[in-house]
Amino acid sequence: MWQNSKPYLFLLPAITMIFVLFVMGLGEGISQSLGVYSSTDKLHFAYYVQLWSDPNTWSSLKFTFKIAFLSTLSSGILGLILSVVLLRTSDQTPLLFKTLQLPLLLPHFIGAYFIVLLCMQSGFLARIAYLLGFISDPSQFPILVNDHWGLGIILTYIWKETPFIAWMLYPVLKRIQNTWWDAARLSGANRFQYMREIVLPLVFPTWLTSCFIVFAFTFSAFEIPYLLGVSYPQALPVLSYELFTSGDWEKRSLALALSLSIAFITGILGFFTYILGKRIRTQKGVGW
Amino acid sequence: MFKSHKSWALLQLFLFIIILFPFIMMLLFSFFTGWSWPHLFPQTLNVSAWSYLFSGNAGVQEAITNSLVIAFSATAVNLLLALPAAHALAQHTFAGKKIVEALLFAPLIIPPFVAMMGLQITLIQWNLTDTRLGVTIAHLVPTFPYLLRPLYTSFTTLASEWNAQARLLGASRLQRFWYVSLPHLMPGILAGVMLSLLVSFSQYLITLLIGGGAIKTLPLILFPYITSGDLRMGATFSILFTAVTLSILFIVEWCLKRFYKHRHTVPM
Amino acid sequence: MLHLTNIQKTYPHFHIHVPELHVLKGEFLALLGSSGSGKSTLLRIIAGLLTPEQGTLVLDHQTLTHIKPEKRDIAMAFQQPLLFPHLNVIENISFGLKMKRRKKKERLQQATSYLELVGLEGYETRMPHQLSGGEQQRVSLARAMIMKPRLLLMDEPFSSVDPNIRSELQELTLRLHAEHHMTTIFVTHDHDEAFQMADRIGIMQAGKLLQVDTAHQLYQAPLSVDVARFLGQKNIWQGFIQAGKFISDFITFDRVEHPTGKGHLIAPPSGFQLLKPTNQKSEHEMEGTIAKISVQKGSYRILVRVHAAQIETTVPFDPHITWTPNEPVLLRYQADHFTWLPDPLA
Repeated sequence: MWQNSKPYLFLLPAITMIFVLFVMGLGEGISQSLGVYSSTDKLHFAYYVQLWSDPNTWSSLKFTFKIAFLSTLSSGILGLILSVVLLRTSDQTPLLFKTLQLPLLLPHFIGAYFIVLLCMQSGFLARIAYLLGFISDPSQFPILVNDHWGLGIILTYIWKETPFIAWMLYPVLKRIQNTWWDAARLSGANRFQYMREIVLPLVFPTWLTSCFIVFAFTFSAFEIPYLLGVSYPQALPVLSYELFTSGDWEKRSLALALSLSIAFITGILGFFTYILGKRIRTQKGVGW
Repeated sequence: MFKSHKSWALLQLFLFIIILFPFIMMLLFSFFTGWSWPHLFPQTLNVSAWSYLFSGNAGVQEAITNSLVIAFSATAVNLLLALPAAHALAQHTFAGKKIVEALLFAPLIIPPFVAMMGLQITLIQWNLTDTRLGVTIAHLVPTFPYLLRPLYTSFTTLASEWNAQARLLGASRLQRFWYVSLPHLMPGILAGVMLSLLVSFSQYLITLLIGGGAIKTLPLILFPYITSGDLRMGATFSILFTAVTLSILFIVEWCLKRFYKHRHTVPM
Repeated sequence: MLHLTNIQKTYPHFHIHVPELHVLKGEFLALLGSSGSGKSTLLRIIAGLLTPEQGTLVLDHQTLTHIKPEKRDIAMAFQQPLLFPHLNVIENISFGLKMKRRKKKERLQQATSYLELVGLEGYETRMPHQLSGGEQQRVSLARAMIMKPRLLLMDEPFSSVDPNIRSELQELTLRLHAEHHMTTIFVTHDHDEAFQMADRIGIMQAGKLLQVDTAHQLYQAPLSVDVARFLGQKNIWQGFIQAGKFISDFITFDRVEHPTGKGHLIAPPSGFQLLKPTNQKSEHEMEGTIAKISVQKGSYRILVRVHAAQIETTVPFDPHITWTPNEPVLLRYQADHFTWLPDPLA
């Protein structure tokens, strides 16, 4: 009997913490968004309705989605390429190998600072452009950060997430290499064919999962759109924050409704990733 | 691959420059002023940014202290929570295991700030807002999964046969933990601790929500400089942040490695 | 025909040096050695997975030494089947043909026939993880053979398979070899496997190829004491021959017909006959005592103490004769069964 309850006992402290701080937090957020502190005594969805009938919310949603999608796509592709490079350089130049870990250690806002330095109208790239004779004045350089399009935000995410994806894929690539490279070669495959026929199909599930993680993160992240964004359109988390801190109680409930909507979307994404991962694994064969 | 050795060397050099270039720029900016258009690099050596930093007016000392205390406390608490949890998850199968796993790793998928927004009222009622303790408690959530994961992996590779062998050789529970399990788990613990510290150092929104702006951490004093476009102060604070982060990571790694100088950890 | 000349490669802990190796077309050559002897390394050098520091490799008059493995027209079956996990059986087998850009119809046709050849009809659409270890190795074999390579390399392909499956796979390999006459180099650490399967056997030890010969020649005419020891000869003594007599610290033999000089004498158990003591003792008989008796398949292995030596003999089961330890016996020897390895002239 003791043996049976042992795992539950061991898990109790951690579960308690998560429950109190996370689950209850979500629960309280839900109840507040359903109007538990409002004047009516019944819970209602009015806040959600109000939120999602506002076209402003929808443009924020589109904006956030766009940022997340483009960041994920770019860092996904670049990360894959980078991980192949890592595979080659790991034995040749360990110094480069270690250096490429650096962006992983630093938070996004340092990356934001770099992008600002590089890409603002009087930034480094602009000065290079001047040197090369493309422009003669800072105002001629396109607005790349703090722009309506969100390019600065996307660039920052690319800076940080490309190494992340590369490092997620690297162990898988290494394992594939150690296992099947010889067999592929002795079946007459050159490096290109090996990459296309063996590596890419086998690394795909991990790549997809990593991309979903990046997407979920960039979709729901606050800091970078806050730092590099403009007043319209705002990313959803930023919008939520503005509402939350506006001091208006009604707006606060809207903020919670929005945050929970964000949580709902990422939750669905997470679930979807999990299902997809399982399906791919059973299709392609287990435990390699 | 398709390329010759020379082009690989070039590519590596290119990557090297791309990564290091921002840091060099950052260093330049914090130590030099006069980046007037259209110079590529700032011209005049000027350490006023640094003297301001250390002047005591910038609130640097308070911020560093807060960041460190919060990060280490939250990590320590989470370590106590995660060790038994990882053990249970790795070594046992039981009903509801998938749900428990989903729950413990949920903060990776569902952004913690949502829970914190909801929790804020309660924390106000418990007098925890605007306090360092409150912020530390809030930091437990985002950091926990990052600490749990490497520990979990470590525990799964800890073969119970080693434990059984040790028992047969007469080792007590404590001895088994110290001599058999711990050396094997050390890489995972190290990795988890460093990730947890990193995540805590980098928190902004949660610190702001619960700390109310009264508890200043490094990110909190750094952000305004980035939004205002004050490149010099931004650079200076970024360097400070990077230096603090990297040194803490190195020190933690060094301490634990030294502690195990006589023992060898098992590669994962 | 494969010719290796002066192949050398250095590793931190050992050094491979093969002055020469010739493999005849259509031959089945086994490379036999214990782990760490360098046999797998040599195979990988032949495959092109490793580059030697010195030496040349010539296959059918083409120098291959610096050519990439994918261009050598050599196929290899590994210790682990290494089937591509995301491809089914047919796709795995036809992979090499796909790399050669053959048309799909042709690939399918060929792959199906090779699938039948290895006895796995009906397995076309199965995935590797659904197959047993032995079945996977069959697919791996088919994948290698479909390329119709100039040289087939096999690196201990059956060592990780159950023993009863192993003999099935050995038979399959031999049958395929008899039908297709593919030049094959087969690496193994199993003496029985090597002797059962190969035309010739190359013995490797510590990075050196000691001898390449038929099984018969290896036993009858080992080129070195190392080879004899490797093959399990126990009766090896160092000494010298003078006037037809072999003299060593341990034992002496008369009527040894070899020129005078120092060297090693190798006396296989077949050169001895164990007799119960009689009153007379003839020229080629020695008195000894039984030291130890152990039972093998169908015979006894009896160690006899004679003078300062322990001689290993084999005695068939005989219901009429029993042997007991410490029993005095008479050992009759036939010196023409013995091999003499003179020391190399300094």
